[in-house]
Amino acid sequence: MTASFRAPLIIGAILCLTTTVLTATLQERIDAATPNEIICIGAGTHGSIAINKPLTLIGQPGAEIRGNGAGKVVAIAADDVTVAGLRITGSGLNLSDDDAAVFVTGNRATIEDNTIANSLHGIYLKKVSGARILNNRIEGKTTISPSAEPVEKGIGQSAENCDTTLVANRRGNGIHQWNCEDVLIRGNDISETRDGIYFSFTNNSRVENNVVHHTRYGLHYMYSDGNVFENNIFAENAAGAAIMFSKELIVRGNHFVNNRGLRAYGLIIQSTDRSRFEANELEKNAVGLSFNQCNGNQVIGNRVRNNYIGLKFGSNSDENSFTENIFARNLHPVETGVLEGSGNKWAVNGVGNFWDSASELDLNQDGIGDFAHRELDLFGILRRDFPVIAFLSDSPAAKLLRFANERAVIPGISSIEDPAPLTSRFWKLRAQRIAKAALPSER
Amino acid sequence: MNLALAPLFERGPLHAILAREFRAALINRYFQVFCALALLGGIAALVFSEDGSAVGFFILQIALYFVSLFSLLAGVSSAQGEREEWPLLFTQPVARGAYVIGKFCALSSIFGGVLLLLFLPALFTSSAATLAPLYVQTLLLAAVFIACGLVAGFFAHDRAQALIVGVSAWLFLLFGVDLVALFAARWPVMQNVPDLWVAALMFNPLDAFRIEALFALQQIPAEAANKTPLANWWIEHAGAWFAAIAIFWSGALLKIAGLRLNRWEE
Repeated sequence: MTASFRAPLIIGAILCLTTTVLTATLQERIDAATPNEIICIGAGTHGSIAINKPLTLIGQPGAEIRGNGAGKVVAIAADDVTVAGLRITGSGLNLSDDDAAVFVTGNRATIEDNTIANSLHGIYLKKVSGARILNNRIEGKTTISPSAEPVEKGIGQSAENCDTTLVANRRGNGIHQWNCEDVLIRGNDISETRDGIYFSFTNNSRVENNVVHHTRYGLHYMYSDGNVFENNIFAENAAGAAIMFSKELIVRGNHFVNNRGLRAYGLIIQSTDRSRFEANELEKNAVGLSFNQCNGNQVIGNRVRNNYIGLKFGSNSDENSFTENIFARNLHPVETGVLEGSGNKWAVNGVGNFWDSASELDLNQDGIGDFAHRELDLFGILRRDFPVIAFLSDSPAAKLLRFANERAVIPGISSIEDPAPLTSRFWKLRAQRIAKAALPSER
Repeated sequence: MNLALAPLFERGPLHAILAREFRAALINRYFQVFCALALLGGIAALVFSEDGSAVGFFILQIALYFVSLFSLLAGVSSAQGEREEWPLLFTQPVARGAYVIGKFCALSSIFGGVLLLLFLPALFTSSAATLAPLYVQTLLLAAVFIACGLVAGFFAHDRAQALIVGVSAWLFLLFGVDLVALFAARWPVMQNVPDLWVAALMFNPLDAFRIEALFALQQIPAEAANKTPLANWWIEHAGAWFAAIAIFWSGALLKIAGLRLNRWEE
């Protein structure tokens, strides 16, 4: 966060420490405040509030805004509102009413350093621009009261009537955005919600340094263009991230780890075009990286390791380029319906990808294999028609056939061909070349 | 102890056979090569694996390919070791079955020790609790192939024939069963009876070992589970099943080897 950005909060916090306790309710203080005033909220529990003018609300340690279990807890309808340092709990649970702990319809809101719990949606941004969601901790609501209405119980609870678990599909999202622009989401910790971060029709935003875990989709993203995702961690979700129906994204340096539901993905990309996926870590997922109906994307320098299926590549994706990616220790490196001759590039400027099953014959020692590498999808359609075929995962027979396919194409089985597979020494050799090239200029 | 089995476990003859096998192992080139491989494999697992689970995965590959092969070769070698002495040996008042049991116990014990060369280096990065089940499973796998080697060795007329039969059996269990299964899976008739297909894999000790070890180490999603009752049961009881099938195979093969020796006449 920039210094200018933090200054009002720091000043506000100092003021808070020196302000005397007031007797009016928080809503009365908000109503009475002049625009751009800083309101300090003392320790204790306060009721739901609605903010209709530019204000800064700063909570002292122990300050909580607790809703009564209906509607929104903090509703921000004005521009330039800041809410910081609060614990916010107790929203309604009605998905159709967009119930949320913090519901924002004003532009340039800053929601910072709050703890949000026991609510449907955590932070809901609706048709706003310039919002900043920084360093909040959002914990989804996982149980409901046993005394809830029978109808609601029937929908919201899991199988048994006496069970008070709120099933994932009936929970809200950690950060929910609809029709927004220029949002910054940074440094938040989100868990136990339906989806961690939800994007819909939200453009030109940045999502960075967040941790999303134990949710359904860590990132659920659709119809949103020109956004940047950087250095986030999506771990132990039913599915790491689903990016759909979007274009011109940058997804860089994120970790998609240990997303291991039966049909879980580290990163699933569907109908997404002209985007760049770079230096991400996709590890220990059911499927590391999945492409379907995607065109013109660049996939560069990602590490796809220790997944059940490393790369799932739909036959209807074209003009995607893959270079400098590492595919290692995946039980099935590739699942694909693609036959050779598809319009995707598995090497760019003579630099392909590292496949741990490729032969490392490199006579000229440039870090690039001398023969093309074919990655075979041995099980193909059998995965769907005969799921027990999975028992042959990593079997010697499967390895034998892949070895044979390296030497001579086995007809009728899908595969992809990397014309310039990298050896394990590629990065070391390149670093040496760069260092050597830099020497004359230093002299 | 059952009276019928008592002669097989008489202390004197068994002790003599064990002692002889231990001495023979010291000069057996298969053991010497395997000791070196096990130690190198253990160190390689330590050096080239990036974390604890990777070490287990590395050792799994060594167990699948090398432990099974060398235990089979050791069994063949042991069975053929005194073949020319059989006319003399079998004049002794010792149950022939004791001869089989003694060799099996001796070779299994030796492999129990040699496998430590493979597993001990890995303790630098993995916990003993993680590696102990894999060690026991690997030893059980070795026991199956020792028994397999003994059968091949006792049935064959000479060492070359024994090696050909033994290695062919190993290749069939390692590659053949899975290749047949892979092609059979594309057969519509087989697709209607997936449990039959699964059962065929379950009875192959190498598949049972691979599935148990792989699923335990990788914690991969069992996409096969819940698809058929048998597949689901296998996933849930993979460890117990492998132990049972290994004991069954070892017992059955030793019984066959014993029968072969009992029927042998000069």
